[in-house]
Amino acid sequence: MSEFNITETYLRFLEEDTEMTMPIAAIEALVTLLRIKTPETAAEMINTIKSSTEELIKSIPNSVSLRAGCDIFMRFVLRNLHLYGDWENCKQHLIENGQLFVSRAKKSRNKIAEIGVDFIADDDIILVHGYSRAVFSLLNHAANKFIRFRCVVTESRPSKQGNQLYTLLEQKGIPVTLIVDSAVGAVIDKVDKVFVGAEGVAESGGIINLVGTYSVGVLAHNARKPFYVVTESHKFVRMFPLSSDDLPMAGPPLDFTRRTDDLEDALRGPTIDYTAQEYITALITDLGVLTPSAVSEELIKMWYD
Amino acid sequence: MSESEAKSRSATPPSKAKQATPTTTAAANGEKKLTNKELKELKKQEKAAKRAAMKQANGISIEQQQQQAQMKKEKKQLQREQQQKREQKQKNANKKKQNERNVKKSTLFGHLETTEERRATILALTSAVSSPKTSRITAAGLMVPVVASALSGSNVLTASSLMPVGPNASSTVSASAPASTTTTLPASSAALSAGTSSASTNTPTAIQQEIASSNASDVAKTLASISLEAGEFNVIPGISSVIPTVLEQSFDNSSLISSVKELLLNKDLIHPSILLLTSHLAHYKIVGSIPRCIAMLEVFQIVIKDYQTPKGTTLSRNLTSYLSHQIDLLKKARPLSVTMGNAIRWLKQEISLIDPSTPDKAAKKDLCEKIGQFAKEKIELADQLIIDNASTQIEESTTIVTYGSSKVLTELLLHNAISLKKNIKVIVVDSRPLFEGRKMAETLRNAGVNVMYALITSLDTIFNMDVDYVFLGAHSILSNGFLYSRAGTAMLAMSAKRRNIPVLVCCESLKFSQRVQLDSVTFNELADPNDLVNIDYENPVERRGNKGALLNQFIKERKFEKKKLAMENKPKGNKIGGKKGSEGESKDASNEEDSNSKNILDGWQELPSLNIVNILYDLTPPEYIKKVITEFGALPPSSVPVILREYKGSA
Amino acid sequence: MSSQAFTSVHPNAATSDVNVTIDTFVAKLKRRQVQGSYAIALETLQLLMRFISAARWNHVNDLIEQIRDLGNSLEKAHPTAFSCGNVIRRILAVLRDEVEEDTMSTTVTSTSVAEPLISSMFNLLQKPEQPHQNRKNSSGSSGMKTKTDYRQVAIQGIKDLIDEIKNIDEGIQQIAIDLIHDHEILLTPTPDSKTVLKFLITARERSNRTFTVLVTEGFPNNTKNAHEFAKKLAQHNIETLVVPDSAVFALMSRVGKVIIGTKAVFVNGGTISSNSGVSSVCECAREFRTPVFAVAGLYKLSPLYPFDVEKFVEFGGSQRILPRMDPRKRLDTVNQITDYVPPENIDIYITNVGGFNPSFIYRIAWDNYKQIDVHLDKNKA
Repeated sequence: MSEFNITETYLRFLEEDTEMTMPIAAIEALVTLLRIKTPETAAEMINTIKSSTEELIKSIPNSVSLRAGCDIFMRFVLRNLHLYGDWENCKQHLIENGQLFVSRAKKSRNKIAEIGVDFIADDDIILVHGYSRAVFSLLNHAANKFIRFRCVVTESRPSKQGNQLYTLLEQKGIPVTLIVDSAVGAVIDKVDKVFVGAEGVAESGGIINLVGTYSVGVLAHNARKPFYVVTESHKFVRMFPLSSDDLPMAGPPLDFTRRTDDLEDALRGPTIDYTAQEYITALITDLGVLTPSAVSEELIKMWYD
Repeated sequence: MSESEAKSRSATPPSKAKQATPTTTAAANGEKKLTNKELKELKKQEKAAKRAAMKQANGISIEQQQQQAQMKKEKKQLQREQQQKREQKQKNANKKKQNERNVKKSTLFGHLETTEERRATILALTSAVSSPKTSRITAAGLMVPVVASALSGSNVLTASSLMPVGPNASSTVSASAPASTTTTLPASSAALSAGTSSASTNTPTAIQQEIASSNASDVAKTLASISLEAGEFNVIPGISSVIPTVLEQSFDNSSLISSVKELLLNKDLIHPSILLLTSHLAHYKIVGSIPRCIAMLEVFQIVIKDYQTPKGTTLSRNLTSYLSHQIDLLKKARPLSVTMGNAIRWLKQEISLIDPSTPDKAAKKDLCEKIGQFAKEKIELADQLIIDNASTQIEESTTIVTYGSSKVLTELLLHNAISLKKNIKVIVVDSRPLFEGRKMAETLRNAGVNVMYALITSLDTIFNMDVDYVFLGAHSILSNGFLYSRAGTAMLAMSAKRRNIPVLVCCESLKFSQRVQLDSVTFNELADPNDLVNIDYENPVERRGNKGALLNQFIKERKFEKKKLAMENKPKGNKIGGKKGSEGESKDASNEEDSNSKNILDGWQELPSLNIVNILYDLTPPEYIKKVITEFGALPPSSVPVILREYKGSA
Repeated sequence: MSSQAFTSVHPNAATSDVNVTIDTFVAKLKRRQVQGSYAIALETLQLLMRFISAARWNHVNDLIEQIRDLGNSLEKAHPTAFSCGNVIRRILAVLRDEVEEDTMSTTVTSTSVAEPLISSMFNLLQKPEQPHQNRKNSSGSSGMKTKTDYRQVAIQGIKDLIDEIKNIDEGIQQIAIDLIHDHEILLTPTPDSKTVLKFLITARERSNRTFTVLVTEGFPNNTKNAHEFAKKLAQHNIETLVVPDSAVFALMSRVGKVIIGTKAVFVNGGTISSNSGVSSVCECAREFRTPVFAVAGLYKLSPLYPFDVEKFVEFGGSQRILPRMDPRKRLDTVNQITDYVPPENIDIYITNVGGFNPSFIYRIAWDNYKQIDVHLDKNKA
């Protein structure tokens, strides 16, 4: 049996396919794990998955999204075992259909686009924070349907995902403008609606996303602009953070210890934040348009069925 | 059913049916298939005929029968009369209940003066003031003597037999007086009879003393009788009763009575131009806090010109109190606007500053000039400054929402659209029952401004139309920064605030008030609830002031009497007549129903648990207001007290 | 157009007199001659009953398609008569449930035929469907059930629904009565709602509560209703105050609760009310932290999402706003007939099946409808 490193596999999946989301990569990694390890008993399978999941979560600093994937996978395995006791069949199914999950995940994005396109009307000015494949596929779909709308894209520091989205929209021919993150407050009155993606959707219906989403959400709420989250349902995660402090992060949110002369390097702070459900108007998912409270129902359904 | 009845009637005329022999009925029987009802009727007739035959057989002649019938009728009439008496009593009781309701009336606005109360006061006053003239139109709009059955000044007047009132209904209210006049009010409504017992306690010679008695209905009576003083009587049965009933209904409030008493005592001091103004205000002929203030100042100029200082006092001392009497009356038309209050306060201060040694003529001239200057400075120039200031706020191609009608706003918008040629769009929001916005929309539209007109129920749609600003006029801004303005303003401001649309108020500093108030319920002005009864899209409710109400009351009483008359006539006529009467009544009823269907709420007063709220103003909290534009520049609403101090110093 | 197109869809129905009935109903809807969601719902159900009894089909899916077509034509005739589409969707859901049950009982394998869209996140990991097998199964099973069975099911469904709609007030009153206390001041901006009227009267008479009701006038389209409403309340010995629309803010500080009737309730928890000005009243209530409760029969729940509110709000002509206009200097007027209240301005919904938070309405909707039937229009689905 060759040495199998779950983290490497996970990262490799992400690298190979840029369209793949983190939860799917995690699921794929776990499927690969099963294929390679071929556990003999149900208990062994569960234990293998459990330990690998823990390992994976530990090794990746921003683990929210992949955690969602692991959750679903684990739950699926457990449920099948309990319900049917037919774990061999289940394993077989998982191993054989690895690729299918990936394609389904991608398809769910198309579904989101179809469902969400009604939210975009002619003459809308849409503010987008961060780069999300789901948001882009929605905007793309709307443009294909000849809806005339304009986009305001934030730079989304520190990852600068905004630049990526800007180029993509530019290529698509959608009128787009790039602003710095701190300018959101200044332009929010001119904007009609806000779209963001999510790394994970917490049980409360709040979302965990790229840092800055919270501030955008608060500003939108204050200006009474609708704030929509576009996300796949496999990003629903069993977490209930009360604030950004509760999120798993690499270091402390505020670091006062390190001294450096390089100003670029001096820039520290969290890279993700938590936006509570009261700022969210609706979640556009492949399961339909959900109110934040519907998220918890989906999660409850998954765990207590 | 009715058809079958008609058939039976045509087959056997009912009046003859009694005499008709069974054979005819039998014939009818044979001829037609009869319905059950017809059969029953026929049987009845048969029985009646049999009875008659029996009686005849018993030796009672037809004449005797008729006599019996007559007796029965009389008995019935007696019963009826008794019943009427009972009804009357009930009505009295009802009235008392109603009065109770009047007190309970507005669970929310019981502390405020209602239009009825104000109306009653004015009515009393005007009838008192203009009493020497026998025929006139009072402020109430009621023409008293038209085709009067004039009853010349004898000592005791009894209700004339001409009066279409039953003996039990008409009561003689005699305040017996040996020397001078005695008044008797032919009262058709039992309301007055309620007061008879206490009438004797009055000292009749001096009317003022009579007023001093605390009984509400007494006051009402006395007030009505004032017009009859000095020996000349012009009483129209049925009409004069209207005033006291109206008054009496409203005078269940002792403080009101005392205020009326006071006003009556001073009625001779009142200047005719003030009376005219009062009537204009009460009829809403002059509306808007600024026009009302201007009108008042103008009248004050006249009053001051005509003023003669009584002997033994000086102008600076006496004029103030003289003016106070005038103002007391003005207050009764409608509560004074804040602008009026401020102007009065200023004027009194000016008067007190006059050097007692200045000759009256010079002082009066000086005052009049000052008043003119005040109006110009505080209103005209202030408006100009406000318009200049607010114009800087309005950019090219903006959409502005405004509510109701405001003088300064109309000028502002016209100035910007016409003189400055800005491409602006105005949305005038309006509300029932005043529809003041129609006037403003029309003015602007006629000047060629792009105007849209909407009602306050469509706020949601209006604010979805890319509105840039909300401009509001004001009645007053209170010391705690609250905007006191036309009802509906607060809702508009709130909606705008929730949508992040800035709300700007244009307001002369004359409208700033020292008062503080927290909500719209504690202090407000109640308008006539009847304005809301009529649902008419064509005409905005015509504000008839007192006229309509009195007329209605009169018509109602007339109707009531007519009915009674009909009731009395009924027993006298034969059976057919009775039937006719009842038919007429049912027609009346249907007529009434017709008028009811015209306005669903007609007669809402009769439903004890139904009330209509028609308040004129509401209070907008300062957090909804971005900016107040005054002649001192633009300020946040919190700076109102600052300006007030400043303004007081300068005035 | 829709009626014509509709009849051509199933010429084999061979039931011209049903078609005539449908055409007349469509025409009535178009001319807005049927008023009130209650009446529309009942009439639609009656029509549907006749339609189903007369319909012919080979496969139950045909029937479903036919009903969908009918629903589509009705919705086109009056796009804002939501109750019409709602009841049709309810019946469709009943049928689909039945179909699903059949397939479940005959085949052990998965059920994703009936509900491809609304499903859990597990879809992702589900075993791939075998469409061929499934199709076979479903057709086989429905073959086993005779057509009359489905007819029976549908008609029973309709009867149940009619029953439910007729008895809606009872259920609502039970719950709503506990929400008001003695001597409370209530405000209702929807005087045309029979549910509200009945509720208030029962609260007064059966539960013997004393309370004051403020009724806004809803000028210009609903003032008559408001006055009648107020009169009826007063005749039932309820303290009633008629309030002009402009005085709502002034009085809101004294109001204990706001009761609104609804015309349609959407999945996001927002509602369309049949009276303009309701959204402003609810905004006022929100501003004063006064609770707003909406009463709604289950049939008012609509599976639609109000993406574009202006599509759902009706507008009327200017004759009631500004009847006399100088023809040369015409003004633009706005006459909103219905009003949309967003979910954040409603505190609770009282339905005949219980009280719910606006954020939970989606669940109740999906209990009664199938996602596949949200758009009856073929082009959109």
